[in-house]
Amino acid sequence: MLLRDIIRRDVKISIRRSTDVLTGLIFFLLIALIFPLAAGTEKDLLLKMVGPVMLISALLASMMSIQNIFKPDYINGSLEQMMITTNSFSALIAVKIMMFWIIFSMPLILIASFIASAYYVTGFSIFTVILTLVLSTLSLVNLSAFAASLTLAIRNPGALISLIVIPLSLPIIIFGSKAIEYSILSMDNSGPLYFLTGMMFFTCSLGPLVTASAIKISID
Amino acid sequence: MNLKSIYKYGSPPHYFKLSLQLEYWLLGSGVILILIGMVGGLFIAPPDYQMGDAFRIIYFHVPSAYLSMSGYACMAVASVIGLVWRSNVAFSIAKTIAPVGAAFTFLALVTGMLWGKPMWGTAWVWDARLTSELILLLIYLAYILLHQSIEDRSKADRSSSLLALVGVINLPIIHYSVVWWNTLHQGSTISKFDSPSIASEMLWPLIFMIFGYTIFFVGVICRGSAGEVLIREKRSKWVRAFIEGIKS
Amino acid sequence: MLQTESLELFRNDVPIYSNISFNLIQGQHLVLSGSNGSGKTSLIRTLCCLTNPSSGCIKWNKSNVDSIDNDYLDRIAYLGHKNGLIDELTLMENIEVTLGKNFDRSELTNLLENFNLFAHKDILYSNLSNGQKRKTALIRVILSSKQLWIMDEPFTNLDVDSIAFIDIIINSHLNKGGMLISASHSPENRIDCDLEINLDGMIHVA
Repeated sequence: MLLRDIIRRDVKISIRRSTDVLTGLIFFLLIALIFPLAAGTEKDLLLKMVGPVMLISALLASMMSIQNIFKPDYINGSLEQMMITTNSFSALIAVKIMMFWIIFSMPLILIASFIASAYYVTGFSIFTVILTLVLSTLSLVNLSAFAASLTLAIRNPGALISLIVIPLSLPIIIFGSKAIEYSILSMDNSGPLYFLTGMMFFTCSLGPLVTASAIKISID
Repeated sequence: MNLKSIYKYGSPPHYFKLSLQLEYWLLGSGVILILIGMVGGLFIAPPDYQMGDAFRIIYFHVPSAYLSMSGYACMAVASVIGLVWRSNVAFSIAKTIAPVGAAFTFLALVTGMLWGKPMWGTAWVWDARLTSELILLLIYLAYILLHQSIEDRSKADRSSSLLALVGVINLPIIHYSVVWWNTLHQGSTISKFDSPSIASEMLWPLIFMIFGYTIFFVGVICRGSAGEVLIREKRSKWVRAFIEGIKS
Repeated sequence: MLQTESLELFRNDVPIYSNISFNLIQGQHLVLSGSNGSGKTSLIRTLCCLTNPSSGCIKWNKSNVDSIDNDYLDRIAYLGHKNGLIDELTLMENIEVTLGKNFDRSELTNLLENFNLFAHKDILYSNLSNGQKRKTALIRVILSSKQLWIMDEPFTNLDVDSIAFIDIIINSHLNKGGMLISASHSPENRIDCDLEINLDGMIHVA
């Protein structure tokens, strides 16, 4: 099966399964809404919180929706078909992860700029928020896909996926929040951004390989 | 050096015999070394100039922390060997190290908190080392829970080995992220074992404790992994012969 | 040519199948028979390289299927217990998405008509009956133009006419040099075979 076909297939499926796609997005919106209501709306407080809130909501949203990447195909048997018919299963998984990111995380990032301005972020910092979210969601999606593939054969893996993803994602959360915070304080945030970029290349290159191995083990 | 004499311990029956033979020696000598270290550390070493007697908790904290991290490294190496060579011995060792390593991590956390109370006033402080230990505990728990949740044993072994491998690659990244994060907040946690000048009367009990803990740890792994090897090799002739030998 | 030597599978130390050895050449049909739970599906999955056997090996054209340049997986089409098709797409879209662009359109029309599916080709897959879903999966295997078909209980939920039609298709596939491995638990649904392996304990050649 050509990779081009996989892309076309995933796009068509996600258009029809639109309620699944919205899960992450709605979750992200709701969390971003809850924080000011719970913590108060002073400008300084919200400016301090926007980095952590963005990152944590992105993390939680990706964990909520990650089961949609492999579970439906595992259940209807098409994952096995893909294993047999493609020459490079890792490449197929890489494409699936990228499609998942485009479908599930990009809407999230697009509306993040509006949420950031609700948190009183202005000017160039909004661009930093978007950039940070792009880099960190790419890494988070790869980590969550790995966790989802390990637990493919388990019936209710929600808690296990969180337990696997959250410790491994801590560096991304730490540096992502700092990148946004420094940008808001008009300090130099290139350090955290370089780290995030490095982490993104690391997870995006190795993630599909370990995820493909984990799927082969789970389907065994 | 005749490598074959080492390679043969990769095969389950030889490994099984070796670990049962070594077990009591290791446990015994480990306990003896720990006792010597405890006497030295708790009674003989002089009280610290800054902290008084409270510093003595490091005799328990340092070995536990060191073992928790090296235990995870050993688990990761065993996992790689198990995945690459499909070795049941390696999978047994990895599975046994997990709960023991988690226990040592928990001990390190508890002793760290007990040490923190007199030192900083509060039990938990967001110190880089303590936070890293907590994350390490979570990573151990993820391994243990993943192994338990998968019913097929061979699948469980391989999936959790993959998780251990990914965890060990991420572990330095996580540790240095936490250290970096911590230096932003406060830099005043100078720990006793950080400074290069530790008095020799305080050092030698620590060395004994570290060796004692390590040997004891290996002894505990011996019996656990022997049992796991027995389970995984249920169908082999040597297992049947062993069971017959026990029955008669 | 497909060869297996002493294939054996244990799951958690429970034997699933053991001592499976056979040679299958072009034009031959192998049937795996046995009662429910006798290990047919596990053996089929092993033959598709989805499950690793505990011991034994599979050879395609004299070389082990695990070796790097072996093209075994390019030569098989697998129809499993699950159909491998997607609920949210229509029947036509499912076929196009799994076969890509290079399949014979006229052949497809012929198959759809003979399976009574032509009128349903734009209906969502999830709205089809179980028999229609199975027929769609069969169409996917038939049009894949692969040499070896591996089918696990292909005739579940199918009516008598469809089974007769598939009989014809399979015979023409075997005559053109194809190979077929099928598993079934009921003797009346079986087509004539050259080899039979009964997983309830005995191996014999028909």
